[in-house]
Amino acid sequence: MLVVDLMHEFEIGVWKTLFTHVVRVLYAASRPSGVLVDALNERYGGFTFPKARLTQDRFRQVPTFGLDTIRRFRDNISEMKKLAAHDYEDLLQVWQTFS
Amino acid sequence: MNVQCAIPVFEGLLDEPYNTVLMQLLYRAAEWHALAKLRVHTDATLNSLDGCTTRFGSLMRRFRDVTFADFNTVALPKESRKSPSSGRKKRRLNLNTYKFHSLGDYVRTIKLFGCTDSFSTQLVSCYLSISSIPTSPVP
Repeated sequence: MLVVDLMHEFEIGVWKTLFTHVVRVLYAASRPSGVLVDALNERYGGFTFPKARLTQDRFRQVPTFGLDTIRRFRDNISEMKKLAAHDYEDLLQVWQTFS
Repeated sequence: MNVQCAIPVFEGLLDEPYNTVLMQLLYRAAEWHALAKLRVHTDATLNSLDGCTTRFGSLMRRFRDVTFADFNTVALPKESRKSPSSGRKKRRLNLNTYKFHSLGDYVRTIKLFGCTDSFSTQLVSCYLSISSIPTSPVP
């Protein structure tokens, strides 16, 4: 038994594989228009990261820099371009406020 | 009330019974991730993680079988750009991987070595991104 590694095994391993497969299923279920993938992108676009939520007000004027950047989901999350492990983690833990 | 979970994003996109299968799977995925990432564990939380691992595993296998049987899941545009031949081939959710297999080792590892935050490579990644800021070369 090897020592486990949550980030590589789950966040950019199992969860990334599962997310990718769900996007494949959405494509398959709405071919050829892909409306379901558009709907997914739109829904993710409406959410903000936990970190963005905390820093939005105070640091709105500050340009993004370093580790503590103000991050938002891109418009086309289904393409999964340039995503780091914490991005995949955030895809699983979308921040939503219910009133 | 604040909820951190991907479920509302995927809710209702697929028809039944696939929607329910996916909702249950996402719930267990979020639960497993949260439990595995706890920074303090007790016997009770480890038992929860153990049970959750079993349920998550069987839901993943069910999702793999259901989606393979009823959907023509081909490679995504991004994947088929890498290898053009895979574009038309049907893709199955591949669970025959070390990463998936290793989820069963988490409870034992936590009992042996402590909570996962103390030895996750996430910490190392953070240091790496700090050290990737250009500095003067070491003589």
